[in-house]
Amino acid sequence: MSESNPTVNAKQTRTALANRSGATKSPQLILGIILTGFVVAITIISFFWTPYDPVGIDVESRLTPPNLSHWFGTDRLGRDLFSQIMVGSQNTLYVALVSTGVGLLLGTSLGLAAAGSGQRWGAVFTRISDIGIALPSILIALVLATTLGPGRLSVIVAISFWFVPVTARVVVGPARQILALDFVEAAMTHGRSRLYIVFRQVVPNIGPIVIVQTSMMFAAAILIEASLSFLGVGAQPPTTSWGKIMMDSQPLVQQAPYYSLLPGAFIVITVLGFNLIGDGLAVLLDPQQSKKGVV
Amino acid sequence: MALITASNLNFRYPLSTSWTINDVSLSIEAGTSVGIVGESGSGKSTIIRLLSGLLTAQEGEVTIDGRNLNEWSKESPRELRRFGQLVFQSPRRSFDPRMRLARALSEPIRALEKRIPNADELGSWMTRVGLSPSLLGRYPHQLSGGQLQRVSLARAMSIGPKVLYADEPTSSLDVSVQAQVLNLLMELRTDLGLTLVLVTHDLAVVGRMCERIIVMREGRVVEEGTTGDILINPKHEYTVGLVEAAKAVSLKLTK
Ligand SMILES: Nc1ncnc2c1ncn2[C@@H]1O[C@H](COP(=O)(O)OP(=O)(O)OP(=O)(O)O)[C@@H](O)[C@H]1O
Ligand SMILES: [Mg+2]
Repeated sequence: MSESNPTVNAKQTRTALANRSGATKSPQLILGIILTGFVVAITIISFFWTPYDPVGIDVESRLTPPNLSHWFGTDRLGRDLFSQIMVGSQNTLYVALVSTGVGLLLGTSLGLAAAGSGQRWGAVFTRISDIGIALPSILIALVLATTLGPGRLSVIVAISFWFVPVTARVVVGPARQILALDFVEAAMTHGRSRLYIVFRQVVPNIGPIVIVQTSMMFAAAILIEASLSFLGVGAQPPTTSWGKIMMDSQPLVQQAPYYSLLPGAFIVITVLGFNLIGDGLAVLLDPQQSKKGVV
Repeated sequence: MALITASNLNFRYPLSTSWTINDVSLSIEAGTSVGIVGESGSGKSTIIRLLSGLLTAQEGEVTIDGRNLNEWSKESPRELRRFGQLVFQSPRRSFDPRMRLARALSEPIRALEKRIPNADELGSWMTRVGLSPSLLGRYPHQLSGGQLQRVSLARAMSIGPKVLYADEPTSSLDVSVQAQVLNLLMELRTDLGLTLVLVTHDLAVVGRMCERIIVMREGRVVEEGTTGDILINPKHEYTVGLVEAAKAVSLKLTK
C-alpha cells in the first residue's frame, strides 16, 4: 500500500492536524453577509439618525414619488418613507430575531429530546406538537393581544408558539435516523454518554437541516409580523415595521407603487441575505461538500 | 476458567414476537480466537452485542472474567468498555462523517482514559496499522474502505482491550483488501495477546483465523468445537451444508 509509512513522523502528523482551516471561501456566504450587513447597518443608524423625523406628518406633500429630497418618496400622511423604513427595521428585525431564536433553541432541544427518548414518549411528543402546529399563530396572537395587549411581545410569543413545534418536528426525524447509525453505536462502545453523542454527533450532522429551518423561520417571522400588524395586533402607532408600512400601502398600490415596492424590497433583501448566509454556512460546515477538502 | 461465558441467554428486540437469541450458552477461553458463523439473520451480530454489553438479555446471564456483565456495566461501565471493544462491518458507517480521523481515533482514549492523546501517539497508531500519520487530518470520506477499517482497528486497540469483537470486519471490503485487513487483525491479535471473537459468514476466513467455531442458526447455537473438527467432521446437518457449500465455492474458484 502506498500509504504505509514505516516510521512515525510526528511532524507530518502535526501538519496534517494543523491543516484543518480548509474553510473554502463561499461566495453565497459573502453576498449574504453583505446584504444582511447593509440592513443591520441601516437599523443601527436609525437609532441615532434618520433623514427626516419618521413620524413628521406633512399632508401637503403626501404620496410624493421618490425625488432628490425624499429618496423613497413620502407615505399617505406625507412622512418620509426612507426614514419610516429605517425605523421600521428595528421592530421587524427584533421580532424576527427573537422569535426565530426561541423557535430554534426550544424547538431543537425538544426535537432532540424526543428523538433520544423511547417510543412511548416519542408518540406523546408527536401528538402535542401536532396540536401546536395546527393552531394558527394568527389566532394565538389575537388571543394574546386581548390578554397581554397588542404589540411586540404578543407577536413574538404568538410566532414562537408556532415555531417551536414546527422546528421540533423538523428535527426529530433526522435526529432519530442519526441515532440509529453505526457510528453512534461505535461512540457508545468508546464510552460516550447519550448526551455527549447528541451534542457532538447528532447536532453537527443535522446542522444543515437546522440552518435551512432557521432561514425559513426568519423569513416567515417577517411575513407573519406583517399580517399581524395589518390586523392591528402587531406594531402599534407610532411604532412602525416593514409589514405595517406594506399593509398601509396596500390600498394605494396603483396610485403609488413605490410605496409598497420599497419596503417590500427591504423584506426581500433581508430574507435573501439571511438565506444566503444559511446556505453558505451549510456548505462550509459540510466536509463532503467543501471541494478542496484537506489533502 | 473461561474468560467469557453465556448461560441460557434469551433475548428479543423490543417489537419482535419471538426470541432473537434462543437459549444460547457458550464459553470463550482467554487468548483464543473464536469464529461465529451462520446465515444472515441467525443472530450473530446480536450475540456479540449481548456479550459486549451493548444489549442486555431478558433472560440468562453473561459473565466476563468471573464477573456478572450487568453488574459490571452498572458499577463501572468505563472499565467494561475498556475490557472489550468492537469493530463494525461497515467502516464507512462507523465513522462520524463530520469528525476528522485524528478526533475519531482519539475518541476512546478521550472518553475512557480522560486524556487527549498527542500527535505522536495517534501517529504511532496509524503507523501500527500500516497507514501514514498524514491521513489524520482527513475526513472519513477521503479514505478508502480498507484504510478506514484499519483506522477502526487502531481505534479499538488504542485503549488496550482484552477482547476484540469483530462483526464481519471485511465483508464490505474488496476481496484484495480483505486479506490485508485480516492479516493485520491476526498480527495485532498475537502481538497484543487478544481474545478475538470474529463474526463472519465466510468459512474460509474462520478456517484461517480461528481456533474454535460456533455455528448459529435461527438464534440458537447448533454446533461448537475446534475449527479442525468442525470443518473436517461437521455433525449438525446445517453445518454439513455450510461446509459443502464452502467447498463448492472454493472448487469453482480454483477451477
Ligand atoms: N434493532 C433491531 N430491531 C429488531 N429486530 C432486529 C434488530 N436488529 C436485528 N434484528 C433481527 O434480529 C435477527 C438477528 O439479527 P442479527 O443482526 O443478529 O443477524 P446476523 O446473524 O448478524 O445477520 P447478518 O449476517 O445479516 O449480519 C434478525 O431477524 C433481525 O431481523
Ligand atoms: Mg450481522
